[in-house]
Amino acid sequence: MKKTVFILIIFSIVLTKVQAQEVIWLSNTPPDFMKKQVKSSGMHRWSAIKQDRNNNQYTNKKKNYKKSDKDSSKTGTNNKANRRQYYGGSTKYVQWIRQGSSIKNASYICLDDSTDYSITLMSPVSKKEPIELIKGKTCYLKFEMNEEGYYNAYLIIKKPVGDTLYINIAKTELLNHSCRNGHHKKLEARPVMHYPEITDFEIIRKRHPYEDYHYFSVSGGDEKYQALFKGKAVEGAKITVNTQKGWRNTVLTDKNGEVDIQFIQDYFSNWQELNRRKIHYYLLEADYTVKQDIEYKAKPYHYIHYKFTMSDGYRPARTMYTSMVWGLIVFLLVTILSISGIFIYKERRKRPYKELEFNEKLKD
Amino acid sequence: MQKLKFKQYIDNSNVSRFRFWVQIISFFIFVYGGYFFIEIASRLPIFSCPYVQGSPGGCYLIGVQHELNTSWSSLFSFRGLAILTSLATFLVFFIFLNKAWCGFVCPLGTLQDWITKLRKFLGFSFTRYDEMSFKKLKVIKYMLLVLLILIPLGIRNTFFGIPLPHGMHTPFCQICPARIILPLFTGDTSQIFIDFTDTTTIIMTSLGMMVAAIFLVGSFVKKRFFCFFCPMSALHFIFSKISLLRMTKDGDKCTRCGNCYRVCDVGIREIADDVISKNIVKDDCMLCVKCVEACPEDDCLKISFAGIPLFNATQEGFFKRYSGTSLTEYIKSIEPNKEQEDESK
Ligand code: SF4
Ligand code: SF4
Ligand code: SF4
Repeated sequence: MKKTVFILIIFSIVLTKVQAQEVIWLSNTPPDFMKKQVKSSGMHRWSAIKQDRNNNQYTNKKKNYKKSDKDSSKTGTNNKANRRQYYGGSTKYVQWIRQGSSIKNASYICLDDSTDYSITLMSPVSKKEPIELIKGKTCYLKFEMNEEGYYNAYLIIKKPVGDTLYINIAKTELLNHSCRNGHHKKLEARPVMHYPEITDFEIIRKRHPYEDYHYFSVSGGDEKYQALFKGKAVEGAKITVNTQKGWRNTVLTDKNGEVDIQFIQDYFSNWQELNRRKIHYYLLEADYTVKQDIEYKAKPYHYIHYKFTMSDGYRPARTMYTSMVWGLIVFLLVTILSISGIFIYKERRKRPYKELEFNEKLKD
Repeated sequence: MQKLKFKQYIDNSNVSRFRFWVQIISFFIFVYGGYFFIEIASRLPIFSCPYVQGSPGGCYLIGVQHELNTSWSSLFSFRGLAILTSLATFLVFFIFLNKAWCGFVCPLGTLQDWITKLRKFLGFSFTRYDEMSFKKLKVIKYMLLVLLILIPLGIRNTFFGIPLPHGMHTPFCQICPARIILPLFTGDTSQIFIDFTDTTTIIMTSLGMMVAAIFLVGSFVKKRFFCFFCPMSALHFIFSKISLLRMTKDGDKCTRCGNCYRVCDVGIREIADDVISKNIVKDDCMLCVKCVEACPEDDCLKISFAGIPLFNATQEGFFKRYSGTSLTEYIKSIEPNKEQEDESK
């Protein structure tokens, strides 16, 4: 009996620990049951609930407006507010909250009121902007992005276990860009923003020297990440990458707090099925523990363990579907053909030299 | 008096030499300017190609193709306004220089002039189209302009139930020689490729490579070969009349000597033949002003800006520019070679 109780106690401790460390992250892929309601952009990896989009299609507008009229008459909601929602305004972007390291199997979760969480959205110009947590069958964050550049959204969950305070920081970095706004600053890699005032520990993705608004990570390409603690680079932070198919790789940050990660192509498709626009997701996890005596909810703790997560997409490598050799072959072939064509054409148009002969006799 | 002297100085000057230097400076700005943090605008009336890493701006054609990839309903709502705004930006720039954007600023035009110089240096002869071909071929640029407008619209809206593949987005950029050739000047060879993603991309990128090859060979045998087919030039012509920079002709003073036609790189016959029109900027003209330089009749051809005369044809200017060249050399320099004459028959 004693033994069983002991095992149960140990088991429940382990379970709480596992739960506390269970990685929570922000994802822009909707759960299956919501897929039809969601519009996603491949290019910038954003998702939006269709009815929240800045939908300017006239027909849709009409349809939606009628629907909104009906809805409002039923629910008695403010018609004007509905109209604004359907008639334009900014698109509302969403991020789902997921739990588990496996991108494929991570569950979509909701946060209850007993959870100590905070959500923050920072604009490219480091301004705090509104973001809300929508609760329903699943939970998601909803926000607008009106400035051009990278937005950072954070979901921070605190949970004490034993003598350690676990802080799970789920971050997403989303680029808001429309080609219609032009590309004046395309040579300027969009600045990487980090916010020690929001989270002590943070991972940032360093920009490539010529990264522009259309930059996309690709399999085989190198990405550099840097771990920062209170704004300073940290050595020895553990960074793990998980790809959609389950490939995992763990590395430690160097003395500059940096790691280089190369996404592998962990899937193979037939030539005909190769889709260069297909996005595969990765999840980056980072762990860092500091020994620090702190007080949380009037209780003392001796350690803080940071669990940082960030997810983004990558595409198949360009070299998989483009061929410079074939480009050169076509180029050279057409060059040779057109030179020969011109040569033959010119030769044909040459007229033989004819000497003018005067018949002197005719003069007489 | 001072003013008159200054005007006389301008009329006697060698604008072609000035143009040569302006072209070099423009080429450097529009190919490398971005590296020096120069930013201009994204709706320029020339091939300032955003595919070139150092480009300080963007060409209007890519903008218009992106913008038109939209549904009819959006086109007539706020998106329509955005399209008009970008057209207005294009016009703000265009209005100042008219077609001189082509003659003085466009990097692709400059490149063609340099290829012509190389040909001259190597001693190869050049060709001109005969009148019939000239008339037939000049339609191509309008066709390209219409296609680059209709294809993006067709991708979103399906005309006559024919679905157009997404792979044809920005269709002109896909076949534009500037996209492939200009990045080479920054050491970037990444635009030389065939995209095997799907049949459309294979066809479009192959066409692009073919056009680039034809561009190089064509520019070698024919002056301003590509400009003759350039949809930007067609677009310029639509708005040419509202521009502040103008080229006018006084038909009464024209003796139809044909000097202007002989020096014209594009081969515009009307510049000599047309003694009726006052505005003599034709759709293929690039306002290079070579014809004004070669015109020996006082005030026959004139360049003006907002009504202010800038550069007039004068007998004195004509002889100044061509002095130092013997008459035979001069005739040789402006006379089309024998072969050309044959072809134009
Ligand atoms: S016509 Fe020639 S010079 Fe003018 S935009 Fe086209 S390529 Fe450039
Ligand atoms: S590819 Fe050609 S048409 Fe497209 S942006 Fe570049 S210069 Fe303009
Ligand atoms: S008509 Fe005159 S300005 Fe126009 S392209 Fe010919 S030579 Fe140049």
